[in-house]
Amino acid sequence: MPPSADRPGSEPAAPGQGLAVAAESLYLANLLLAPGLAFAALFWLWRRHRDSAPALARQHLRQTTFVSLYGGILIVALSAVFIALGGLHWEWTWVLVITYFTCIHSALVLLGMFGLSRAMAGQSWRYPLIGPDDA
Amino acid sequence: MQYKSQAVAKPYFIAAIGLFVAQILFGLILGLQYVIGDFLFPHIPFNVARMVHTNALIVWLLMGFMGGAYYMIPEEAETELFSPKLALAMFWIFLVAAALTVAGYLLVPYSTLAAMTGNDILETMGREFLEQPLITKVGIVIVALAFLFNISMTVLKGKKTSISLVLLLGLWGLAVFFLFSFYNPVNVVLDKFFWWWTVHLWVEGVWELILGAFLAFVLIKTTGVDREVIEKWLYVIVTLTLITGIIGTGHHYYWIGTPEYWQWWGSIFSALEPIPFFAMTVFAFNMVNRRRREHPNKAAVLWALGTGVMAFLGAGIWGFLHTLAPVNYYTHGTQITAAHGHMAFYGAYVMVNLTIISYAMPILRGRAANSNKSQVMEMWSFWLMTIAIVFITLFLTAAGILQVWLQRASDTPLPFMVAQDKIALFYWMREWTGVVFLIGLLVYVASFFVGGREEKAA
Repeated sequence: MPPSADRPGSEPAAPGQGLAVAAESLYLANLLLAPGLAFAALFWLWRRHRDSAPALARQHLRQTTFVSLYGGILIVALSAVFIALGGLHWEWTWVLVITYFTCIHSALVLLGMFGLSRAMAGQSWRYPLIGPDDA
Repeated sequence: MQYKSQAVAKPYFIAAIGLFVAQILFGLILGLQYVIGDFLFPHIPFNVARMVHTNALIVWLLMGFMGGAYYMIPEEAETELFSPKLALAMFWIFLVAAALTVAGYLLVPYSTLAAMTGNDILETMGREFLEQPLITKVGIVIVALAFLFNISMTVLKGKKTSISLVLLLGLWGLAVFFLFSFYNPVNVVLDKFFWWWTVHLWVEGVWELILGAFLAFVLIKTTGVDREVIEKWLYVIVTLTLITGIIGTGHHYYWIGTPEYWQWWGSIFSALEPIPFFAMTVFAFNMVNRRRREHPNKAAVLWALGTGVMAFLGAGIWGFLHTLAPVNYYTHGTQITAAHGHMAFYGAYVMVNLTIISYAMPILRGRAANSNKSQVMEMWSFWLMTIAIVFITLFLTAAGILQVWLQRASDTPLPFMVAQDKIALFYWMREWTGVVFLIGLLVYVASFFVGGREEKAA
């Protein structure tokens, strides 16, 4: 029995839980703290562990890596389309882009928070709509 | 209900919900006055409707906090309340004072009310959110002191848990910082500087401790997760709240005549203010994911989870949106502030009050949980009100961005009222969404009167 199990209130971690939490944390860091850099670390972690890690970790790594990619495209590409169509000198472009960016970014952050809480509880989590099917 | 004296919470909850309805009705009047300027004029002028809308909010939230504390503290301290009679007496004093104050706002011109209520003795009136007459403010202090005496004595004679101590810290802080509402220096810079010690240090300081304590209490009861785990989370949340929120006050000091360094302090620390809300959301979801029991009161769990999410969005994200000094230079005092205010108050404090009410009220009425039918209605009200506030926030955000562009960022800025005309479309959409919110609230009230098979008391 691991030593942590003796402490009141703590439960033994599920296999791969540490990696799952790391994946969700890097996903959130990519959105909130270090865009690009955190994704590079997540991508590296996914490549390294995608075949060897326990199922829980593999699932979280796959979800976070692909949702980071799709999410990034959603944020950047659609904002760019709005700007390209409306131009920077039209007030409605700003209304649309800022509102859109805030909503999509917050939604992706919230989904990551749900993912993190699931990983911390040793449970899997599939991102709705843009999360890849669990292989 | 484990302790008979917990019953004193019930009238507080009922009054809180009553005032909530009044707040929303005045919100709708106010929203209409944005687009039909003379609506109900001169009977209910804009400034009066706004005062009633915001003051009713503050009073009902305080009522909810007090009711929640009277319910929670005996259970945490494992002893009866020190004085249930004092709690009931204070309820009636508070309610009558609140009713008289609102009547004063509605029936007498504000300057006459000031003259009638001794404002010349100590000038405290005329400031946003702290418009209450001097005698009302004194009444609030008396009620708060009696309340704090009552619950502190209960904790002192009973068991001391981390959750009750965090709640006490929050409530004592609430009372202490209210005292700055009596300090009204002639110098306008100093006036605003200390005014924020009440307003900001309430909502972005000590109230968050109250929120954390209520959330922790309800999550322990509904999930069955070990108290030790929940308390550890609470410590982290309290620490993050105080580290970020206290110096974060600086985000109100950018343009009021205070030294320039506040633009750095305010920007840096308030940019960190979403972190405790982030932690709260992960905490709530993590506890529910690790639950060891299926509590029959699903509506209370829904409110608890909703509190985390909506507080993070409203206070965290929408706060961050305009908190950095270079951004705030353009957005200060626009509809973006209103967007943030609406979602933050709803997400953090309305929802946490509804969480504790949703958990405690069935027990106060002799059952573990309401009937399925009643809970389904309550959950409908949750979604109606929550989706409505999301859209109110989005419409006000859009209005704010447009306002900044037309009135602030433009090379040929428009006058305030001309810009207001141009964003009227969003005000109309906000008003209709407000009607949906009211419907949600009425469904919530109706859920208390729905019968069906109830879960027996444990």
